Amino acid sequence: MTADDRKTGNPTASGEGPVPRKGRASRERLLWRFRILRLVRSSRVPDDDPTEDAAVRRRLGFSFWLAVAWLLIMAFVAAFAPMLPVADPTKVAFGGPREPPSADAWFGTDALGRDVFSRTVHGARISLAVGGFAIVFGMVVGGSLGIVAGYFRGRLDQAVGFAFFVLLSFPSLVLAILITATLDRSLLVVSLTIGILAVAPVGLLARASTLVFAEREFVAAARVLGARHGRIIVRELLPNVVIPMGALTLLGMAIAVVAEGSLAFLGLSVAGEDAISWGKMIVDGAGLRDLQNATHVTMFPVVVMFLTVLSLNFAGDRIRQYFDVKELAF
Amino acid sequence: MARFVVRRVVLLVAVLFAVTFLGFSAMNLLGDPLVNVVGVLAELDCEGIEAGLVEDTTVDAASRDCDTVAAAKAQYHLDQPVPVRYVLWVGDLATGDFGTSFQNDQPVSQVIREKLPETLILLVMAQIVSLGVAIPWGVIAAYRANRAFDRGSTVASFGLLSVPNFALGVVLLYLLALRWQVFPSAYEGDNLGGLVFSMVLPAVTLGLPLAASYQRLLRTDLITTLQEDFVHMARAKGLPPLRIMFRHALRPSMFSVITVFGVSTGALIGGSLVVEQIFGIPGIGREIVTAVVRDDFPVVLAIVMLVACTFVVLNFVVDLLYSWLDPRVRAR
Amino acid sequence: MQVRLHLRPPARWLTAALAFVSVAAACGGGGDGGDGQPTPAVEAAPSSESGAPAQPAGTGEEAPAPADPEREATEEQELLVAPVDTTTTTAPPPDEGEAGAEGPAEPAEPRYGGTLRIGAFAEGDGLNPASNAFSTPVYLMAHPVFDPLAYFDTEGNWVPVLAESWTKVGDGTVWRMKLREGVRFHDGTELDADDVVATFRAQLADPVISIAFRSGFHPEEPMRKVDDYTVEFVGVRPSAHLPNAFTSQLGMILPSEWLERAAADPSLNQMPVGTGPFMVESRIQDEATVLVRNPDYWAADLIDIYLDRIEVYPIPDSAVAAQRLIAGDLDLIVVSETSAILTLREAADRGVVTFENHRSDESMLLINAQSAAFSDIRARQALTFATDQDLYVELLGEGTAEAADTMFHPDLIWRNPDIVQETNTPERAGPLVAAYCADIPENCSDGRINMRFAVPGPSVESDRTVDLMAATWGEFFTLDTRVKPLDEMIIDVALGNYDVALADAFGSVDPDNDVLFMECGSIGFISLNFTRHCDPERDALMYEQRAIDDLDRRVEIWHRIQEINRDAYTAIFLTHSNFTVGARDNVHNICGQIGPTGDELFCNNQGRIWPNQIWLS
Repeated sequence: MTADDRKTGNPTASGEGPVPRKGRASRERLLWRFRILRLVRSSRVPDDDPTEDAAVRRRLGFSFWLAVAWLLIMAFVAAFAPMLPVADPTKVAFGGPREPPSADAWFGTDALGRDVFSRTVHGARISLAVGGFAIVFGMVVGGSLGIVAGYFRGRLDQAVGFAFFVLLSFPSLVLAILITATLDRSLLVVSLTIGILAVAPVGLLARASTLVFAEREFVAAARVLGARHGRIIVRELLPNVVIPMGALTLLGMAIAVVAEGSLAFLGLSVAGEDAISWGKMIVDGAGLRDLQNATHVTMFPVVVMFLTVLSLNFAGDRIRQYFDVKELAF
Repeated sequence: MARFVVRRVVLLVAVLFAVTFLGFSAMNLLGDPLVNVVGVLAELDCEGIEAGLVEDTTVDAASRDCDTVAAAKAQYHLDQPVPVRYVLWVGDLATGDFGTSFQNDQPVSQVIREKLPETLILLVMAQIVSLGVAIPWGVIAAYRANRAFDRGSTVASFGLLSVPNFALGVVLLYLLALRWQVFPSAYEGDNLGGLVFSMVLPAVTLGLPLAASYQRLLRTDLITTLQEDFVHMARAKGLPPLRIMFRHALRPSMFSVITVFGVSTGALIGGSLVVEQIFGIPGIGREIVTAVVRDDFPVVLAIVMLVACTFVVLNFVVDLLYSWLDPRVRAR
Repeated sequence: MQVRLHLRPPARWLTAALAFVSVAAACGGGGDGGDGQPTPAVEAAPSSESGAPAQPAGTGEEAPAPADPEREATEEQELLVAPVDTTTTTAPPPDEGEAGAEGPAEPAEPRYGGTLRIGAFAEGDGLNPASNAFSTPVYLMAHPVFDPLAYFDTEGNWVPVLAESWTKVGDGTVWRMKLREGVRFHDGTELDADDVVATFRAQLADPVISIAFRSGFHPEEPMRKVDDYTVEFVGVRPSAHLPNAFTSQLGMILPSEWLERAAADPSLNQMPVGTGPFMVESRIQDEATVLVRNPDYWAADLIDIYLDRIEVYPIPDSAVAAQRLIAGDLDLIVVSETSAILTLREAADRGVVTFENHRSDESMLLINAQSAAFSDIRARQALTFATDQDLYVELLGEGTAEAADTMFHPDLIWRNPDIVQETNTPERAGPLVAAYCADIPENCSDGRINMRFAVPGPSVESDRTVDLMAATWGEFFTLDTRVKPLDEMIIDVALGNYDVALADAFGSVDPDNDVLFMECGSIGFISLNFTRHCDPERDALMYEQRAIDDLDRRVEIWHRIQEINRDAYTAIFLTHSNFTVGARDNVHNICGQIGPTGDELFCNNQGRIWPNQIWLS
């Protein structure tokens, strides 16, 4: 029914879009929508509140700025950790082993007598770097795959959809440990690994948004005017698809930060004695005896990590509501 | 409908093949299975020895080491290209032969049989915990929508969703096992009672964040359901509010919760890797971490296969349920 | 994270063999199981017969300075030939010195009956001494089922157990072993020389079990049957200590026809038939092994056996095992992890008794003398100087393990008291590194020597060790740290694909059993001499002491060997590992077991204890 159909020569593949279709195609469409919905929900984002009106959604609110403030602090600390006036995080016997918090060591010291505060500060580097890189990777790779699939549809769409489906069939942590355990555990590999995990969910979202926009008048207009596919994708679709994807950046980052923490907890995140990460710090103090006698070693990184993930989730969710992403996506 | 199911089944099988092929190639190409079979001998330059270019350093009988390497290659088909090996592996699978663990010579099927019950109990308990918490919580939140309790629970669920499960596990372990000593700090597998009791903390660790997301879904659906006519009708009949909630409104509102069931089980399986580590549960999650670290290909592949199957099949069933349950789909 | 050793599939054996090397000449070093759990100084390397009970005062007097004046003063409490059977409880740390006498106060009357529940830190793939390599915890199950041909007494000398006598023939290249008559296996068959020959042959044929001792026996005719109760073993060079080799699984004898059946049906390996006071009733791998009393034990007249049952549960995580012991779910465990030892010590008021043995193997850093970077002695010296051993002992030992200077504990007569390891002198490292890098710039980056550091793991402990070492070495070395599971790490080490490795080594009851890990003959494509340092003088000395009984001369030789080792800078000793037995206070006679000859047997040999004669009150 659209130009697109003629191009792909695949009438059944074009079922997606605002115009209702009959039969299997529309069932498929509903299923897709349902799957994406499920993904968004399973990505641990509390759902929209039906009782809130649009006005509420359009307000970011004080707590949003609080969350953003915390994230900015973390980002600053991560970026400038080596220049901050804190102890050397790798300095063994900075204090005695497992000393409780004091004026010298605000968060106390760990089993090797290292400054937990300084380590927590430096730990932000890996967590945020991995989180940031992973989500950017997911957006670039998943986003482009999703847009291309959504725009061209047909076989390509099926293939990409299948690939996403396969990726999603691995429980993410299993896939992650498979990769990090067999490759070396450099910062790049760990970031890439978690980035790969982000590809499929982001891709599905991009595909869904593309499907919506590909039906819109401005795309049809561009097409009628004879624009090339590349131009349509980059100039017409991309700016529109980037908004919903971008709105989910922080939420994705939260997931990535947790994933990195889990890997570190299993001893499979970035290797090396300089690689300080919150997950590694938490597992370091998580032995029964350490947990009982030196709770601070674990609890400070736990709290900081929690606050960071909470802020990411909270700010991310606000942004999502602000841009009304769900409606855009469907 | 039948055609739809067939299509889905074909897709399901295709996905399973793709997943296992991906895992199989990754493990074979990224690691060297020969090292696991013959250890150091994998380093021998047998071609060089054969050609007489390298001195044969075999300790006892002549060329024995290279014979072993050759025998091992033949037995594990390591002389074949990866796709051929994959086909052979699938063939073995079809006959119920999962292979033999590299770590200990136990058949992989036995390893899985030993470790699976613990993980299953953990997953089931986690789902029970999450539903047990989420249903009353969601009902009350919806009943008092936008009141203090509801607002508070929004914050609480945000909080729960933001605690990484390893952090939650460590915190619960500290508070409930070490500090207040309500639960044992370690796995006790001697008898069923002890086992279930020692699994409470791990199940709560896994279940609580899930409860939070279930609660959000349930609350949203409940609020929608409460606008329905039959609820107004029930109210008009003067039924007590709680009875309306639980008897009339709850069931039609479970839809979203059921739909995320498959995906949430996948998340639970992922979480079990970490949680089993914290609480020392000898289950599948711990086994796969060990096996991955030790390059125990047969075990890793079997578990990946198992987990992916479970995951895909569960989602397949949920998809079916969805298209069967959802009035919009059914109507067509 | 130690290997579970298994054999079957084609030739994975070498991997297993290297991990098993501990079992070396005679005994159980061995694995500690555990998956990814923190394991302090993971056993990596050799360690053979050895160890012994308790350094006095469990509380670990902090790292005694090498030449502890007090120690010298107490000449009364003489230096020990072998780690003597002196065990201590931790409860009230007794004064060192009289530690030997200390033990749990034994109630007068032993009681018969009862079930002993043991937590083992690793599971074995089977209990067949001719085809399953035994790690330390497996001996907890093997000793009750099998009587070895010989074992050590508390002085560290071998005494016959299943053998009636051992006699040297000629210069000691050949030893004649006479079996006891009238000994019956659990299945009723009678023990004779054919069983010994068949078992020994099967063990020699097994690549894993034989790896460490095969080279010590004549390749063509390692043994010959003389008559129905006499067998001669043939070595390759004169030895005054050959029976030492038969104190481990090598000396555990199976019925010859059972061996044939087991060869055809490997499932029998789980339910072996021995001569010991207990029989295997049931065994489910990774779950439990149940041993019941053998009603027809051949030595019943000579030895009192009290228990009815022994149940062994594999619990890889020592922290968990310690918790369960404290909770009363277990009666006895053996641990070597710092945190587990501390947990046990702290539970002294909750009915837990501990027996510590600091004279086991050594946690150490092996340096590859043939690697590109470290073949130059300056690199090895610089590493030694730069190593902050004090910090390691304080932060990773936490008072459970003492600082080590050589391969022998200071209580042992073998130790050369003049040797002081030159660690903690970083100021001496700087000039050496500078000179080294000036000469060999290709091995350096930024003026620091490049080094591959092999560590067993991953575990919290290994992470801590790496972090600590990196912090102390960072100024002079650029680390390329490789954390691998123990058996994979050992492959790298045996192949020489490493510069520095964290491992446990040495610690045999009789140092003769450690020769294997230092002799030039052990260097090759695969080296058991892990540091790949060959010294002909050292070889000559080692073979000299092997041939003689003269203790004074042997001690003199070992003192010299330690000097040679120190000057080679191929090993940095960190701590003497501590194998600690933890038990409920109603468990008695853990140490103090006697053999059929009436001699008291060596106790807690690197965690190897005999549960046979334990009784419960």
